[in-house]
Amino acid sequence: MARPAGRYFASVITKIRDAKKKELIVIDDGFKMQLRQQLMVKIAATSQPQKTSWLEKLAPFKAYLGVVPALAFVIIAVVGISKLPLQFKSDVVVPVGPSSQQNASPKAVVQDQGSPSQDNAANSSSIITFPGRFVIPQGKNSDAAANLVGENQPSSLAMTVSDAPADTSVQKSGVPQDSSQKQQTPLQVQSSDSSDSIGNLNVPQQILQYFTYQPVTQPAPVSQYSETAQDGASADAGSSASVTLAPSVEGSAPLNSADPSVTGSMPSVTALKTPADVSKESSTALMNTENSAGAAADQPLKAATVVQKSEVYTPQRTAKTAPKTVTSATYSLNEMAQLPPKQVDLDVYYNGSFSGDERTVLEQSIVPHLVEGKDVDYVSVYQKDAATVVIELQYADGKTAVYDYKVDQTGTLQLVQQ
Amino acid sequence: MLEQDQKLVQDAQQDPANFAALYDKYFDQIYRYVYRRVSDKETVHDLVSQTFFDALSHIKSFEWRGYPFSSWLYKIAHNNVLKWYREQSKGHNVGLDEIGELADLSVDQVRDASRKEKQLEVQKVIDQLDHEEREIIRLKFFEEVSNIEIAEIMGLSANHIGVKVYRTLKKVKQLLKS
Repeated sequence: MARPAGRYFASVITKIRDAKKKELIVIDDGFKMQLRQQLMVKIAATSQPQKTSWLEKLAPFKAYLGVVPALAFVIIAVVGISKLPLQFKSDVVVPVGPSSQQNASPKAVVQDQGSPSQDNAANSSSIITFPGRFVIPQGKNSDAAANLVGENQPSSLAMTVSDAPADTSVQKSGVPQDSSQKQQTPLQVQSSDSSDSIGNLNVPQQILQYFTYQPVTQPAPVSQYSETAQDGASADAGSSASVTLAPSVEGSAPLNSADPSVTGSMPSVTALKTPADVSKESSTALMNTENSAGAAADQPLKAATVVQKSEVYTPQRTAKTAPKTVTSATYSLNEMAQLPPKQVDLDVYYNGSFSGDERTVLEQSIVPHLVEGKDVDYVSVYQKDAATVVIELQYADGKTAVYDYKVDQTGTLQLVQQ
Repeated sequence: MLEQDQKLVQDAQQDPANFAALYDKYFDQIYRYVYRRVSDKETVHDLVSQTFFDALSHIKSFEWRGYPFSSWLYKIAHNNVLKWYREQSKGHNVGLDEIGELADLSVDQVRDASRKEKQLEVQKVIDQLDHEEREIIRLKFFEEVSNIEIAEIMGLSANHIGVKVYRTLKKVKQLLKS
């Protein structure tokens, strides 16, 4: 193929270029200048509004206009969520440990709410603290509150004898017990002095008595409390029923003695003690419970096993190291009912199987003294494990106070940790 | 050359007032191009004006591809001429090739007497070509535009333009011989 610029087309191209040279095209300079002016006018006309047009000024921000509805939606959603009754708050202790009753241990569970006792720290291994929990506001019913408290909580406060773990094993006489075991074994001390307070709480001891609990499979009617409470012998004669909770360790028998007589029976009289008392006395004061737990393993505790005792008991080996005798008193439900109940206009939320009497005791005797003089929003009561009841005070300023009460085999509430 | 064009275009894009420099540089080329297609003076003025107004309106959207700025102006002028021919043939269903014939017919009709007298043999041969061949010959040898620019103006590939240039010259040679 010949190139257009080659010799083959040279003659043609020459003729075309000659024709171009002979072409006469006169450019109208007047039109050229006129058109130039028109263009300048148009440029001036178009550039002037551009400087004043607010739409043009907003053009660079056009991309952000789409963000406005999304941002408004987010704000509305956040406001809506913030108005929901559920809020996250920090400094919360949630128990992580045995989730079933068989694995549940009646250990004194220590929460990091400020206990100075080092011995208590030994028992905090089953606690994980994480910053966040549900806080139940006022107005929520107890069912909702129950759902919001930890899922690992046992569904019932009831405990059978078979639930007694090895931690409460009996120490033979003369054998010292380490501090962790000491704490795990509740000290039984009786006293007629009921005016002592526990720790720095404003809760008299007598109101902390006999938090009776019932087996899961055998909920006791309310009337059962009054009947057994009125008849003190009924507790002693409980062997005729399914449960025997004999006060076999009453009297002057030392706590650390391995009295064979306790075999097959459960101590029916218990005492309250503060964590400080635990640390002081638990080094020597031991309670033999292994045999009794083993013998009664197949027998659930009977509700309202109440014995009225007022003897003063001082452990033998603690007299030297603990000059202050820890006293306590045991009251029957009837006596508790005779105590001046306090009516507090406060919401108490329960998580667990708390009977009506238990709630009455909590709401009229324990909780009012706990909240006395404090600006408390509401109170949550739940079971940390099978043997621990936690009373949580939610202050109006958002702070939380948690009181752990251990429920021993006799149904007595013991303040373990504040 | 290209760098100078690019600088002028950038200035015009930043400030439309600088478009005057491009106007001054390319007005004569566009005027002649349109004049060769449309001999009517008023029509030439209208089409040239429309071409530069269009260029001014779209100068900010112009993307530099390495071609001379004149290629873009030729393309605008080419489209305006075709649009004008379509408007002239309104009511008749004609294709692009027929538009070219109409354009040549219109050119012949409005061509003044003096120009007719000076019409050379080559011009007669060019008038016998079809629309696309005439456009290629005018751009290639009258406007002295490269094949790549012609391809850009006409929306064809550069290789296709090269083949068409060859075939058109061969056809012109045969017509000149005859």
